[in-house]
Amino acid sequence: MSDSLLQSETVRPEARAGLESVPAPELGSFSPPSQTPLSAHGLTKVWGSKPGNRVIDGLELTLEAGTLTWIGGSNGVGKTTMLRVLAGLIGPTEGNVHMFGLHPERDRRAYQQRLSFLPATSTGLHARLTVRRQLDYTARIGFVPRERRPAMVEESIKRFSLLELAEHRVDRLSMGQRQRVRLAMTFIKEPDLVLLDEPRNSLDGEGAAMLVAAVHEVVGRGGAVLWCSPLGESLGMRFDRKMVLEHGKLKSH
Amino acid sequence: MSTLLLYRDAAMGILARDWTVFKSYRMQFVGQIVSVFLGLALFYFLSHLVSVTKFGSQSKYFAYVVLGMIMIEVLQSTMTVATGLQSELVAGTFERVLLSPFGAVAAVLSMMIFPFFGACISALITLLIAVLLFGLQIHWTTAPEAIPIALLGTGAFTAFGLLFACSAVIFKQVIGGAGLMLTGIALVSGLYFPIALLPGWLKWFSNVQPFTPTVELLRHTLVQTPLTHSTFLDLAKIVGFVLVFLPLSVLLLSHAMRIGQRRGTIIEY
Repeated sequence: MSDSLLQSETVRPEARAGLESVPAPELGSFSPPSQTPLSAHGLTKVWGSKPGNRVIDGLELTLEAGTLTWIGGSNGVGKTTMLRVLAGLIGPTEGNVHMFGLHPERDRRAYQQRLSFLPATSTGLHARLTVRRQLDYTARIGFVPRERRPAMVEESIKRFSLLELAEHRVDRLSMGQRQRVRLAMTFIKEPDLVLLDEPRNSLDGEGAAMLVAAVHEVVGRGGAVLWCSPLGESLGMRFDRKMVLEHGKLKSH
Repeated sequence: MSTLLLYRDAAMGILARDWTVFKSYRMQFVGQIVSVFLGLALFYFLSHLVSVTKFGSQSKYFAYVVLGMIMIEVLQSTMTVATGLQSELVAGTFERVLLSPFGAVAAVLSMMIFPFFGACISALITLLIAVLLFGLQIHWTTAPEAIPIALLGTGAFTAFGLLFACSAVIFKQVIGGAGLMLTGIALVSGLYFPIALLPGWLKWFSNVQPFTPTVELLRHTLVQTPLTHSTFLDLAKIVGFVLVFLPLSVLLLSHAMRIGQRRGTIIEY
């Protein structure tokens, strides 16, 4: 971790104390409280059958309501795999994850209704759709009720300064503008838990400020945000907890 | 808002998305019309070149083939779901679907709506061109009966489309298989020639799939081609296929998605 780059970032003492005081529950007997935004226990992901491909190894993580957590790590350490497992996109080899007491496979619909995940890639957009259509489509498959959908689409357009680009096709936008669209898609359904994988990609200062405002809005209404980015990236913002993923396990930072 | 309405809105979202993407390629529709015209012209002149005693007249063979061409179009439309799914995996847009409450299986089924309507419109245009430019004689009094038959047939074809979608999820490979499948169906279903010409062992394949009875019934209702089996038997075959294989293919797709997610290969391509 590059300390010099993260000197301006702080960890709220009460949150760090909370992290250290929470005992790891026993596997098997675990029953997550329904108000906990995210709890992962014994999470392990092995690619293929070789033991050396153990990307996540018995990972323990709890995100409390109204908190912003940062997890860093070197390239290829498993941050994206961890986020994909937490998001319910891929299954763990061992262990379990719950969001507000919901299971990603058994309660898939409710799980995905309350969660938003921003993948790190620059893909995931329908190139031939306009920004407004892209957001409307995202809101529809995100089960945003019809009566609220137009207002939420417009709100997202405003929040990420996309008004002038609303009728532009996505494939005609710059990388930074596309990232704003992806952020708008992430926050449009007002999720209770947001998982962000390298969300600052391609963003300018204005875009980064919009991202931070959106993150604080989720935290402010009692949700939780998990922000993952590589070690050394200057973030310049306040986190409740900071951890590093090393050898498949999380360590306080 | 009820869950059913949320699902309907999401499915309409996918339909609107596919329509918008289709519209954005301006030459696509024109290209399809030209392709239909050329296909019809090809078989129109072929029908004049060869004399097939079984059909009595050259125009009857042309009518026979036109319905075969329409069937292939509809069948192709159900197969496009698999290629569409593969494109979405490459573009990373399928990840969004997997991370939505709508879910992958409902989304894949919704992705079949636009190609289906597209194929229906294309089939109508094919018939219109065949009637207006190539003199195809349609039996208008029984023509409306073709609609429920075509819908039932599409239900049966959808099962095949979903099996190819499973292949896209698990094996990440579709195109070669779909081409092979379409050629095989064209061979054994009598789309371009009567199955009576096939050797006995190949005729078995003609009788155990839904394409042969669907195209036979469509030909009978639209151009009065005589049936080789009773209407009831042909209909029973199609309905039976829809009732058994459509739910089974949906279950298989759901299972394929679960396998992909558990393995972690779901978004690979």
